Amino acid sequence: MDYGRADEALIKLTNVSMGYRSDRQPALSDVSLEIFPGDQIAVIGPNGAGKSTFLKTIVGLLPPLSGSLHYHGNRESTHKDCVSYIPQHEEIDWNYPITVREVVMMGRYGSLSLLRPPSQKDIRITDEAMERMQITAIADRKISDCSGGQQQRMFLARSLAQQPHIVLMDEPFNAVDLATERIILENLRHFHDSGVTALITTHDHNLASSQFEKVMLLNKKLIAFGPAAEVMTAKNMEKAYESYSFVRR
Amino acid sequence: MEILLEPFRYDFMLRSFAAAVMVGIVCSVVGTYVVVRSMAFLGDALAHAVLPGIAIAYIFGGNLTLGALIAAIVVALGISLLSNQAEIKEDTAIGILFTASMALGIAIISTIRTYAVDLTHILFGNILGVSSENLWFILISGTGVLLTIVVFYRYFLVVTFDPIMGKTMRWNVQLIRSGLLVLIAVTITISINTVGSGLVAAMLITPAATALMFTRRLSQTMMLSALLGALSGFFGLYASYFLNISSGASIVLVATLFFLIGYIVNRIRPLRNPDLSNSN
Repeated sequence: MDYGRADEALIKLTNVSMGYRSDRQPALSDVSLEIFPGDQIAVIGPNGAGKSTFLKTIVGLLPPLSGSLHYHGNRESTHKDCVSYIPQHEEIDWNYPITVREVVMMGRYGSLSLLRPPSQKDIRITDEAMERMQITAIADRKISDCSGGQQQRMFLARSLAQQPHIVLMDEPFNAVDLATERIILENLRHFHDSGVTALITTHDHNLASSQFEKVMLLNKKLIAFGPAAEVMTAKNMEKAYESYSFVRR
Repeated sequence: MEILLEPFRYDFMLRSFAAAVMVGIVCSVVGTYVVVRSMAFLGDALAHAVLPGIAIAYIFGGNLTLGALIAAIVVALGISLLSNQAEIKEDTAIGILFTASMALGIAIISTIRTYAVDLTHILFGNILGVSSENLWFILISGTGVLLTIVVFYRYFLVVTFDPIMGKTMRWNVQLIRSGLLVLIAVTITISINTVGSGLVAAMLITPAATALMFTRRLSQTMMLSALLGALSGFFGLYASYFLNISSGASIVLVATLFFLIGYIVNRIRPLRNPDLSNSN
């Protein structure tokens, strides 16, 4: 698969303001930055800083209010499975009648045509993704009968099956057990090695600084973006969390 | 024995049985989406929204079913369009359009002299009045709805389970959702003769809700729901013949009986996954 040259920006934002059109003020204003293939980025900032809005804009759910957003130098992402989004837990109806295997297979839907059933290759990719996430044993279980960690791993497996260029995760470390956290981190490394870019929002600053090459600090605007040591300085953190009495959670 | 087979000796009864079973199946399959998306209110609203279409067709001597179909589709697409605005929630859009079209329907019907009788037929069905022309319409439209669900199964699955994923794959989620609403509208239209617009919501919801308690995947839910819907249609009509009660009400009561049995069975059977507590 062609992931583009490593020196060419995968996503380029120029003076982008983001948010819902119906809101009076953008959730995030005037952001300019470049993201490169294989970047692993932790997005941090206080509640309401615009972290989720940022992900939703990148994934194409919210059109930019102003400014320009380019993927591989194009205005829109060029192919269907370019971006994979892992939803927050509360965005999903967990009582839906669907099994783990069916959810993971959804990762292949983007490359299936209308009447074509999944091929042997699609089934193999799905099986491998479940294997990697250690959910093969529960493949035929209904999703409501899975633990929180298994549910999170199921969506990661679906994301793997999509074979995307960019993976976006909104708070993947919330309410998961240590085993799941370890699996998520391992797979971020796997994504990194195969040139896939990952953007993750988190409240866990220790995790952000120890596990991610780059950190993006937001609070209504971009405060700092770069290596953790340069971004997470006392001065920057104070700037982002000025109204908070404590910085670390 | 002779007397038990009596209903099947009449042509009009055979037509009614065929209509009741087909409507039972189509309602129950489409209703699965209504239940998993918590759109019960929408189903009921669309059912009542057919009134002005029927009334206008009646006044101008047109085809009542066609009038109902057009009204249901217009309201379905109107709901889809209105609720696409961030400021208007879907249930608000439904509430506005449903009451408005119902009011319009009643206003038109009240100008007709035989008001009471006609309204009763629309609201509660008149299954014994199913002509062979009606039956063909029910069979062809019903088959069309079921085939559409088979062909677009994956699209409806994603849009009802995780619409955000549909958007990231650059699918036209709004269009797929509107298509689903049109399917519901067609289903309601073919049900007017058998169960009536007042009770069709029950056929959309009750069999699917029963099936949901016993199935793990959507396709299974649909098949079990279809079976329950078909049985409700058949035995409901059969009971109504002997008890001399309204066929629509009878069909819905049988479906409700299945639900109650299912609910009790579900409560007393052991937990499905005893290993859940020690797994991760």
